[in-house]
Amino acid sequence: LWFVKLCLVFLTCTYLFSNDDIVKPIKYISNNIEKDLLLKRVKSSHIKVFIPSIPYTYVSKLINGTLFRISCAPRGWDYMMATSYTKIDELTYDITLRKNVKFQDGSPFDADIVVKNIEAFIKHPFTYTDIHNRLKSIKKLNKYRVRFYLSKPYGMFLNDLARINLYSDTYLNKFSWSGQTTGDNTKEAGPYGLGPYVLTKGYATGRKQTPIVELKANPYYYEKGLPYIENITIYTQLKTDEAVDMALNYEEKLDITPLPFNKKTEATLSRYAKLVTTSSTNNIAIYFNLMKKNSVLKNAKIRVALNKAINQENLLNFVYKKEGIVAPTSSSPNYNSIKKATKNLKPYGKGLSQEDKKSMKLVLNGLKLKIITQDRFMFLWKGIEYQLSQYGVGLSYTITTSEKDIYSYLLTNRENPQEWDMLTWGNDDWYGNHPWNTFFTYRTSSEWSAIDKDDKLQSYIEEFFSSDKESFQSIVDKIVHRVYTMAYMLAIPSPNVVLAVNKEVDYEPSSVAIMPLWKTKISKYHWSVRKGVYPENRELPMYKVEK
Amino acid sequence: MIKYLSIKYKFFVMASLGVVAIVLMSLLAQNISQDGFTRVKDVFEDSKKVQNIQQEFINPLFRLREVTLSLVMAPNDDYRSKIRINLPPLIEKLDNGFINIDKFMQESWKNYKKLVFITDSYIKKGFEEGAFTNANTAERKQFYILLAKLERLQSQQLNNSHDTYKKAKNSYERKQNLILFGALLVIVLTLLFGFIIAKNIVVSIENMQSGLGRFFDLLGRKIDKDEKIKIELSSRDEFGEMSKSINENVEVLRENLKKDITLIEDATSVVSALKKGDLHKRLNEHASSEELNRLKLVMNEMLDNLEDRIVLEIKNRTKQEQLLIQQSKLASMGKMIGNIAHQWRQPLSELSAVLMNMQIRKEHEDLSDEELKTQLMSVMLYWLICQTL
Repeated sequence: LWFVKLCLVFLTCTYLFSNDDIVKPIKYISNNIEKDLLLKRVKSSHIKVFIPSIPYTYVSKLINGTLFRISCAPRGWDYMMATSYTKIDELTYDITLRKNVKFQDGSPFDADIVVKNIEAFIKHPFTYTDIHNRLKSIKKLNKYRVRFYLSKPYGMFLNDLARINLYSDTYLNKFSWSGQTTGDNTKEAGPYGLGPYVLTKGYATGRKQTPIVELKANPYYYEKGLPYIENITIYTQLKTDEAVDMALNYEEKLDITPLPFNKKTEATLSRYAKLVTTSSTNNIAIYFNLMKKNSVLKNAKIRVALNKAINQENLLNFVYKKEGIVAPTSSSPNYNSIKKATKNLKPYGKGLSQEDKKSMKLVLNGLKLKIITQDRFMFLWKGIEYQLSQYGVGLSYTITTSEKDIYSYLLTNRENPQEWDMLTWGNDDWYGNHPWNTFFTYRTSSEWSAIDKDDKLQSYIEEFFSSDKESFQSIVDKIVHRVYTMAYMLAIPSPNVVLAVNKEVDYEPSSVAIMPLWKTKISKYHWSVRKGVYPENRELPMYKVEK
Repeated sequence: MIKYLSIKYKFFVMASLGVVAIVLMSLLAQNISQDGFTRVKDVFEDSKKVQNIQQEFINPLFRLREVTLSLVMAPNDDYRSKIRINLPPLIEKLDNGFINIDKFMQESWKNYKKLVFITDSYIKKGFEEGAFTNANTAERKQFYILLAKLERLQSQQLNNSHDTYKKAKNSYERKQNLILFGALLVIVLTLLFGFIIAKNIVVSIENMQSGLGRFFDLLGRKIDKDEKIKIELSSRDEFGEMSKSINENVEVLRENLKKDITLIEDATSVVSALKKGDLHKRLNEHASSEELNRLKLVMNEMLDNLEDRIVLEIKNRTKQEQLLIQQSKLASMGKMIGNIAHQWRQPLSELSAVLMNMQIRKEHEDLSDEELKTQLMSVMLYWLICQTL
């Protein structure tokens, strides 16, 4: 009792003599949740993720197995269903397969199913690389070893294998392979893949997608103990403000979402979310539509002037909130080869003289351009619009929340030229730390390009496909200099990955377009596993997490 | 008291009063100026303190806030390193300033400084969101608390300044009243003394005027020669001395006049006796005037001679002729005496005119002291002329 009395006296004195004039700073907690992480999958564990750009790619990487998996490693891939490879010669590769692996339906994974998949692919390949012109055949060497034959040397072969999903026999019998502009992706929910998660509801194939995709942990996943989380809900087309609100202001609505850069502060102050950033090789591609009839943008002088009108430093500082890197072309300088290639290229808008600005204004004044964009990039367009308005350029927008609408404007443009002048696409590094990720938009034979004709550039791209380690950098240099000179796209800074992540989710984002959710853990305080209320001390703002 | 003072001292007293009043007023004015200067200095010192709080604390504090916010807003580290240069001197200046201010203010300042460092440390760590949040929450709140305290202090200093001004105003008003009172007192005293002195002088002059009037009446035979004529002045000033002198002279004059009149009456009696043929009568009285005494001697000699000659003639001529001759001579002598009397009355008339002139001018207050003296001198001159006849 005396102790209680003493405490009461102490508390009273503390209250009475406390100085109200002394303001305490906001206390931040660190992201120190290792000790509370659940290392075993709990049945009810569940996270919700918003993927606004190339959700089909991200979903595919979660549900499907490939021989190689794209990664941020310098070579751009890690082993997945392959455990090793041997380059016999320029046209022959032997690949050893992972043993004792089962598809999500329990069927075995071996050389037979690989051969069946590759043969199906050869019949209906995707065309956004050149594998469809170079992969000739596949041969089973033994139960866990296969041999690939190429018709022409192909430096991107292993990277391309990271894009070829290996489906179960059931899926192949039902859908087979059907090469599409956005690649081939699982067309219906079911246990058809080798990935850590099974698609249980919805789908995302690029041109088509459901607003919600549900995933469930694959009990046959080859990495023991993974994934750590049982259920994943993926949103594909939320409004940006809605997604930010769900992630920052509610505990159970959204666990991971890309964040507009101007919302970073709100994320650090959120009761439920933390700010997670990492540098990336992602890009925001802004196309000039050279396919449009009588487009003023066919004039290189105007394209160059538009590029010069963009002050990337200012965009980076005031729009990107420093979450990115200045890029002389539409390829991220975080690619080692691009960094080397752009070493001597200054961003267009840097160091302009008054004379330059006057002549640019003469060229650009009165220009009216139609813009297609997802709403998530509007913060960027406001910055660009301001800078272009200094030269008399006016912009009008068509805004959508869904990437599939962007594809409908972009991927039909070559066949039926559209009226838009500029189009934004969140070109996350789907190819895995490799400049093809952006180079493919310069290939005039592809729907992904809005360049009408440039034979010189096409010859460089052909050369690029066949390049080896020695010649790779020089051809990258050529392509980069060509697109820089011709200003085929509007160059803006390459962005970092900026995410709002639930404080109780231990997620390490990749710098390429893959979400390693199978390695993601949750803590015992996560809403999906917790009993009782969320601890108050966890509601304190959290320091920014830089990966 | 006043009556014991001479006129020049009375005027000196009056002048001294004015001088003293002027000296007192000057001293008071000097005191007011000195006091006003001190008060103005106090007001200036207080205002300086107010300005000092603005210059030494509030302005640098705003500058520090601006620098911190600039650090937060700066687009990159190049800008920040340039901006950060401004932090240490500002903090040092404020540190030095706050040493001399109360403990609570110091605590607020120390905490604000701490929060600024937290903002900067977040920036240095690349945690810009934390820096922004801190700068706009805790740091901002502490800034305004500190600012409010400084403004309160400034307000207190301003009130002090106002109080000092108010005190100065009250003091000035008191001094102003004192000056007015002093001026009034000096005016009253001056008027009082002036009145007393003027009254004293006027009374003296009036007494003089009255006494001289009676004197001239005596001279003009308008009053009895035995009637008392005295200028009643108790003052010991020039008028007192003058009245005393006049009184003395009037008595002498009266006695002389009496003697002369007695002589003339004696002469008239002798002449009457002579007319009656009494040649034995002689002038026995003694006049104040030498001429009359000489005349008396002449007359007595003449009478002696006449008697002798008459006796002789009587003896030598007939009694009738002697009588005719005697009558004829007596007639001539009467004519001569009339002429003499006429000659004697002339200066007396002049004297009377001067005194009347003095009286009239005095009544009309048109008689200065100088002129009074001049007129009195004229009176004395005519008196002497009379004496010489």
